[in-house]
Amino acid sequence: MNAPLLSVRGLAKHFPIKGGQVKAVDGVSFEVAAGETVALVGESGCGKSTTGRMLLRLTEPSAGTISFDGVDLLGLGRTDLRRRRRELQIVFQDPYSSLSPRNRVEDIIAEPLDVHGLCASREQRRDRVIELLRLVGLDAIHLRRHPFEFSGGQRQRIAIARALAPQPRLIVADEPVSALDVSVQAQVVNLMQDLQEKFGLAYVFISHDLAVVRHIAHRVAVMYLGRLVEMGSTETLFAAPHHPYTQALLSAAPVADPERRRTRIVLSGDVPSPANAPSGCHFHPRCPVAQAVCRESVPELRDMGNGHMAACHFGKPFPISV
Amino acid sequence: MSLLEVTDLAVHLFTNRGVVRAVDGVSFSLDAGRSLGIVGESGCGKTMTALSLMRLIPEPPARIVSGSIRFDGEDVVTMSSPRLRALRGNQIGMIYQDPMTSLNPVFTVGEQIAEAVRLHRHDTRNAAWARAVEVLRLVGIPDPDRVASAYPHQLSGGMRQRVVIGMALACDPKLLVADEPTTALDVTIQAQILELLRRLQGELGTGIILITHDLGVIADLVDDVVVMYAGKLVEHAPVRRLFAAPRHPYTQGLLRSVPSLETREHRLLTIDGTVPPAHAMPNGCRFNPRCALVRDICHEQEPPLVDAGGGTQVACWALT
Repeated sequence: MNAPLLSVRGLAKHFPIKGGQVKAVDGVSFEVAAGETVALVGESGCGKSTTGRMLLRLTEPSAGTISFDGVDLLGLGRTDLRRRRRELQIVFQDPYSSLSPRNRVEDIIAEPLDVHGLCASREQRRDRVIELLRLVGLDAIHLRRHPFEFSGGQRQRIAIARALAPQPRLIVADEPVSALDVSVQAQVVNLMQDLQEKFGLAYVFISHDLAVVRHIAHRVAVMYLGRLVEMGSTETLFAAPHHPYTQALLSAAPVADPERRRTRIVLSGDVPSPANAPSGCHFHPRCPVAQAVCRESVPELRDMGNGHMAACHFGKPFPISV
Repeated sequence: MSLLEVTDLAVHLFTNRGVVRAVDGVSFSLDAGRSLGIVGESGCGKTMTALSLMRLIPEPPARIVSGSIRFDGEDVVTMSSPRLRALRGNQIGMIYQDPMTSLNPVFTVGEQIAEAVRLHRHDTRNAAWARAVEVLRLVGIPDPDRVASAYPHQLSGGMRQRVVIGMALACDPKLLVADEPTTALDVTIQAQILELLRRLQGELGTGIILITHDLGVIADLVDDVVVMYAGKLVEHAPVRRLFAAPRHPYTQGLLRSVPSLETREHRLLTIDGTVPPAHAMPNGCRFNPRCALVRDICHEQEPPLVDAGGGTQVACWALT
């Protein structure tokens, strides 16, 4: 197998707080191949967005390494980092706050082109912006407009066009369709897939929506309180989840089918605060199969066969009750 | 007799850019102890409809311009303010999306629930507090005596939403209106709240109106569904019927565009185009610019709601 495009090892982010620290991300390792979509999945506070931001060093990691195309991103100085960021772009959840309201669409999309000096002339810049608008299903007539003149779905298309502008190889998409209505969500998901096929883009797709992830991702990494608890191919993870948290998460997702009002695995309790994470396996206070060992030692992420990884002391998939 | 009967409700917004027909001729009814879901995308009028049920729409710019809302035989539209106040929070409970904004940060949750109880039932301070603890227990809060003395910021999002549900139920309402009650919550917490609403409905026999954009939540909880698009009711059906045999092209498109947890299609199906802007609605059927079955009459006249068999009512010229 070729060397992965992105390789993350032992990535951590610890925020200091009064009387201790919050381990927002605590030793996360994964790889993304060129042209691949890896989804980071989990609930609020699991560290998925912080992980995404660290990949671009928008948040500086406390520990770990990030290797992109063989280059250690954490070792780069400011100028080299900026140059590298041309190949690493990000799309945020809320298209209402990620686009400057005072700028026109042309300047919004051209910003990365200007930053990296990719256009020699105004004509070339405009042509490139028009090309990008068409790529995302918009048109030259939108050049002179401001963000408020667009719907949520169109704004997210503009954000995607901006991310595409410097011809990146990897896009971190942080909940890119979560703020959109379902019919528009489908349009944007399709667009992202088309663009991937066309340009061989890799995505780190951060989402809490399992159905969207099932559709778009090649591989899925599930996070809980700053740690990876399971990682594997989308097919395996959805068909035979190994970790009890993944099983509960899948079982809890509402399904648009009234014939299937299931007996769910309803987890008791809330997600604990990362400032006060439980000992051992973070999941043990809510886990239906927890034993004494789970309170004491942290389970390592280990291979369950076929490269499917799970961090559970009891590595067997138990049958999900449907 | 129905617990709630909404007939030909129209809510207009009077703005600088013209009149917006936010809710336009919507009718539905709910029997005691039943649940009805109102589903649709942003701007379809579902929240305006819900707020109208208790006359909580912002006036101005909004105004109920026609129609009636009969709750337990009385018309809410023409009701006096004192009578409305007696109804709100007492006979009709309300749950909103964001539990943090529906709770007052400077009072304990017990005080807030007890206040509603004292106001409507004229209980003593002690009796109202006891009732607050009782409803906290009812909504599955562990250690309710202690939690009653907690402030909202000391509770998690899921706990806060339980408190809000408890507050809404404190006076034994006949009807609970829940506007996106689980949208702000994580999926494992959402599952807990849906389970709770289902259990409470079974135990207390409260009628529920659930407003949501999430078809999964609809499929999970309600008996009947109203689908709204751009201020119009486009389809009204029993829940199983709606998912098994959707009739309106919009409902069909909406259901098709939901990605499935079980299977993986090569592409998601979409509905072309976007919802038209509120102040520039097309003539005739408001869905016509996005509809595959569009014909001449769709541009000229609004389709009436007609019976389509199996308990389904649908507003579409192609099916008339």
